[in-house]
Amino acid sequence: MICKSLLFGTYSIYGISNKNKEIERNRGRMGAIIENPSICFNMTAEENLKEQYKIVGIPDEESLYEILKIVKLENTKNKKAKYFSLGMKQRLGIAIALVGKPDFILLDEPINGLDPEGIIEIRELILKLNKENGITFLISSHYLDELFKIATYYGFMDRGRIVKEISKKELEMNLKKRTQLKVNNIKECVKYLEETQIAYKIISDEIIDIYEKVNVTEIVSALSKRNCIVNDFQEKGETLESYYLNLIGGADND
Amino acid sequence: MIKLLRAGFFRLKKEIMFWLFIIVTILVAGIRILTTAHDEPLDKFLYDYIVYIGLFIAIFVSVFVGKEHSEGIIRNKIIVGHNRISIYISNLIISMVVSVFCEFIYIVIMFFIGSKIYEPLQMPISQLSIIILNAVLIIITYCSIFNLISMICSEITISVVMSVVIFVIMFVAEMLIGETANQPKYITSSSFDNGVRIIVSQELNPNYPGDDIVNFAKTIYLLLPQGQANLIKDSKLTDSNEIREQMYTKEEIEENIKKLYQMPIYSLIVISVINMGGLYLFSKKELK
Repeated sequence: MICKSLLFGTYSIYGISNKNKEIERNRGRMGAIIENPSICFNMTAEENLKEQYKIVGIPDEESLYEILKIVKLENTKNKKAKYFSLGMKQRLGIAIALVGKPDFILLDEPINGLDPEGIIEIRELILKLNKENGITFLISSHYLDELFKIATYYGFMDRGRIVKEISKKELEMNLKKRTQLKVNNIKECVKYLEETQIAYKIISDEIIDIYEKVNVTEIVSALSKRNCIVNDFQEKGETLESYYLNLIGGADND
Repeated sequence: MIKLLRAGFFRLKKEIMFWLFIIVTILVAGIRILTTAHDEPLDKFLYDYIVYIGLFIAIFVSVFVGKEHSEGIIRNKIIVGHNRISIYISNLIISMVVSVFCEFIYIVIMFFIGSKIYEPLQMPISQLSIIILNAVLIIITYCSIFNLISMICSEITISVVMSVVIFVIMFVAEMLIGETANQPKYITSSSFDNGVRIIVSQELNPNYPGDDIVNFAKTIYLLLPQGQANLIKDSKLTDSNEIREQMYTKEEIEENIKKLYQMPIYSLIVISVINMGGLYLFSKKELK
């Protein structure tokens, strides 16, 4: 929608509504890769960027080699884009998006089909461009764990609608980090937790989750006085995936 | 639009189909020179490429413009702020420039080599000029049709197949409609006296379908780019003066010349309708 591919709905870019013709001026401040990167397979990386310079209308191609260096494609020389790996194509797509010196780039499923090395390359590139060039990225992806490594603000969507928008800080809090204990006397453990008003959840006859930050030494010592031995102790947290499933009600289907 | 044209011409240099189009044009010119009788006037061969060029335009335009969809170039242009009208028209202009350029390559080869081996040009300059204008308009009509198909179809393979099929349909339609459109009202028998044709008798053609049908067929024939292409290279215009005087009446020749001056109007109507339709359909198309 933001990229004018679809004809319905409303949105705004830098505060200007899509109903206002002035929005076209703001499009120069953004870049995008929707589904597959828009690259000419018969051309080299350099030629693709030159093509983009002409489309955008920038006569000076001085920054071309700098962009190739940023995306680590400076050594591709005469290699045509059709012979690039998927990761290289994605990086070339980002390079093309960088031509107009945007301060906002939209990436749609940027790591789909990439091998682990390719995923790391794209992640590092996004983080670098964000930190060094001040570019804001809007990334849509199904790879929640990967998003958790780079995103600072999240929007969860279900059936075409945003169901939740949340900052990383709030999300981390909501992911309920907890301490899981494996004990030999669950009744005594529960008694202790009740007395000390610590939030808990019994998982099984031997396992209990504590939802507060606790002093491990103190709790182990206190339980041992009650003949409750702590056999195992782990820090656990809810994953982004399970958080998302709970958000959209997917957990009910389990 | 200038930015889009610059980008398009830059991409053109890397497009294999563009270079193939030029090579094929040169080959066709060469084959025509080698396989035709050299005792005919140059008029007969100077622009007969116009009959076949439609097929090559179909392939070139559908591949060149089709790649804009398959490689996401159209989407990219819209993202950076170009509007759909500019994108459509810029592709049309590039297609037209390339196609007219190839036609002129053919004419130039034919003219420079042909003027040394064929009989000299007999046609007056005014007639030659109107024929060249018509040839250019025919090419623009072809480009409009195939640009429309390629801008509407997201799949390059479908664009290519549809474009070629439509050219073949026009080719066949020209033959079928031409048969009706060119039906003479009278069957004339004539003889020759000292090289001068004398009409002996004229009777009504029993197969003549009627004025209304023939006039309708003539209109459709003039609307078809293939029909116009065949009119341009019609022997009533291109044969030697001697043969034309023997084979055709003055009225028949003048009627063909009259059509030459009508053809631009028909071409402009077709070009306008196709491009307006194409712009409308493309503006409504969802791009993925």
